[in-house]
Amino acid sequence: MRRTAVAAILQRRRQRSAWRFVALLALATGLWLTLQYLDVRLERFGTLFDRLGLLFATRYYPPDFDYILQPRFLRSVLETIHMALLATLAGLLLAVPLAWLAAFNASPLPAAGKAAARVVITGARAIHEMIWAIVFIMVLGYGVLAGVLALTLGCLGFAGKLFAEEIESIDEAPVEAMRAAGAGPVAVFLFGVLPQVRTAFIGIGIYTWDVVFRSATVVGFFGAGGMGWYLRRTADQLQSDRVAAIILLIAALVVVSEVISHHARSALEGRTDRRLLAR
Amino acid sequence: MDVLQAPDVTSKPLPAAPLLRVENLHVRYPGATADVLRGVGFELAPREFVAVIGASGSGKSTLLRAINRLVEPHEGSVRLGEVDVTSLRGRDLRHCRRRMGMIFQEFNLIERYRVLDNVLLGRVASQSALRTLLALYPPAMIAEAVALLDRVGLGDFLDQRADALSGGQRQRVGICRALFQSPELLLVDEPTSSLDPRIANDIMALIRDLAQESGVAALCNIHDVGLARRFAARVIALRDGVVIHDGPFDALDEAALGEIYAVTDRSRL
Amino acid sequence: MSVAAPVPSPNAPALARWQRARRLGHITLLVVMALLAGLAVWAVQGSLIPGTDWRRMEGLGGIVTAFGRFLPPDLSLVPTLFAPALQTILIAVVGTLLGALMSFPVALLGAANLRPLGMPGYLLARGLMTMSRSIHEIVWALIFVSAVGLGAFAGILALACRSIGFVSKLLAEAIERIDLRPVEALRAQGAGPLDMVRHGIIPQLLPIGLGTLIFEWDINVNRAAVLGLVGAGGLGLSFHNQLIASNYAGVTTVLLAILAIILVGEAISVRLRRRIV
Repeated sequence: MRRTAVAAILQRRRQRSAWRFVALLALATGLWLTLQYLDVRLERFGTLFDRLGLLFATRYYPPDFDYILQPRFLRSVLETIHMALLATLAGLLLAVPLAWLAAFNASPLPAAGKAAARVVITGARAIHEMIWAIVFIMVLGYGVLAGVLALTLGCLGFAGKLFAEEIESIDEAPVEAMRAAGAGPVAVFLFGVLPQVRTAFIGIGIYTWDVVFRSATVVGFFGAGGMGWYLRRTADQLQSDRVAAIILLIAALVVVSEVISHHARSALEGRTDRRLLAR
Repeated sequence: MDVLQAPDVTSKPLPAAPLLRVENLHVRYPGATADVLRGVGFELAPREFVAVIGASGSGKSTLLRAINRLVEPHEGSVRLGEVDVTSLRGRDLRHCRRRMGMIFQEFNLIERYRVLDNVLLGRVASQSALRTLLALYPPAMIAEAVALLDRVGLGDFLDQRADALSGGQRQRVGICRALFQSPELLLVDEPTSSLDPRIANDIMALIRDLAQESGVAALCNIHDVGLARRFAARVIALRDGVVIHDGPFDALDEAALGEIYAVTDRSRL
Repeated sequence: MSVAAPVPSPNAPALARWQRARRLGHITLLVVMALLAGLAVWAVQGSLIPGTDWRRMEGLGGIVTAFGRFLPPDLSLVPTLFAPALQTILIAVVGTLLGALMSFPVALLGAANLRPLGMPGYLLARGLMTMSRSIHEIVWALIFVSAVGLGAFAGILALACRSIGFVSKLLAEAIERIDLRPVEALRAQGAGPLDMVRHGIIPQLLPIGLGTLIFEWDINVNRAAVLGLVGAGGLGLSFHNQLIASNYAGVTTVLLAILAIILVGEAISVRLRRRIV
């Protein structure tokens, strides 16, 4: 029976724990420096919960539900739903062809074209829809259109990425068969690619609705239509009881929308792709 | 049928103080209507190597897990030496479990840990909380674990992650981990059922030899009758949660084995 | 044999079924399309047309002029953007870490197979997850700005709260899928609950947990860039400053800066996650 040298093992283990300790120390130091740099006073953390409690007990409670029951406000809720609807439809309609153009395996475009399509998707996704909303407000003026466009870009970025990933994971054989039969790029997409990803696309589409609707509730914060504007106004005027009512309403609407789309998705039964949970 | 009679105790007298004494053990899983074990009882002497055989579903695994209380018996008692295992709680129970090393069918290693760390975990329960939290072990202990790994022929693999090993190697790690606990009793649950049949023999031999070397008793579930015959002088046979044989293997004839491995007749339940 | 003869094929019933299924498919598609189109028309007429200030756009020319003001980007601004960019990234880092810290207990409570505090704990955890996800980061920021005042701290807290939902949901799912065999082994040798969590559960959660964390950080950089708009510092604040100064070329520069850090963040995130898996 051979004997393994224990000393070398001990040495290695000691080194490993030393490294781990150094890494931990560096991490802690980095975190501390970061907190200093960001001017975060940890001592405020201690009183945070007291203050939050006080805040909720005295200012946010009781919520002013009468405010959100005014016809004017309810009208903005409807407007929010309209915006989300339009943006989801437009965004999905744009996202499908863009995802096709960007997918590395099925795109009819040369490499540069694929990259361009990908840049559009990534760019739309990288910039927060709230910032898009402000940009559109500056170009187009206040109103629903700016919000719809901002949400459309958000939807395009979100769904486009998932769509492209879906297309990239298809089975190549039917595509090859279509090409062999002499089909053009559009026919290849419609009959070789689309049938394979249809169920997944519908699932992603429904999920995207959730994401877009959630954004739509606040996208009007700077004047891009919908109920977000009321949130801004009540928050600026420190009408916390009204803010509380609006937040609760948003949460309720989002939950209702999620329940509906959850059922729609299970009705689709299809593939409950883990990727759909992303974000 | 003579197999169903009381075992012939005169052929092999047990020492005065048994290491393990199981009496009238009943186990029922929550929600089930019938007991998995129905009044199992036997004794185990120190250093004894006993095989438990029986068809799948006969209650072998449950028996081992009832002994170290991974499953709760609802009737009967288990005594390890002077300790009544069935009455223990919390810290005392954990302390008692340390005296029983368990070897599993599917090894139950921590896949992302290195081989040596898996073995060192055998002593996790006897370490201070801080040490286990930081996974710091005294050098003497590490040397001990390395020697054990050398003994089973894994000295060259101790720095590899457990999930990089073959099945037979993993089971060797599992054996080392159980022995590293310095147990008085090994509970071995079908150690070769997940392995290539060709190495089953080696693994069984290793378990038996190591048990003998370190003077540990072993209660070993085996599905394969041939292995049981080769390695255990005494065999306990379970059927539908009842001991139907306890004694030397040779006392089992063809008919008795047929009885043990017969598929449960559902109409009788 | 005449090809034209209308011999009833033995396949006729199958063919009829095929045609019916085909027609049903077409009709379903048409109905869904019509429904969606109807919804779109309803939304356009109900909100888009009355809710937009069409006159202010002054036609296509006006839009082009308005857009032209954003170009070219004001590059002289670049040196002033490094500090806010760093702030945004760091706010995202600390916010994600804090969020992860708070997510772990929530995930433990909300894992369907463990439920350490039973049904009430489970429902509480699931409620927190939903709450965290359904409230927008801007709203979280508003709440925390009113609690701790303007500054990075409010942003960090907002991101942490916004992150709990996604991170703890994924963690809970990972806990539900956990391999219980090593935990059983630890239990069999007399390990206590602390040892079981430390050596049985955490090693299994670590890779998926780290992956989720990095992914969430990537998204949080995106969110952190917005929080500045409501007073949490970083690039959002720079954006806001350029905005109120009506420096449109500067706005473009800040936008490009945001784009840059997010693309870099995404590249880092993809690379790190690939290394973990």
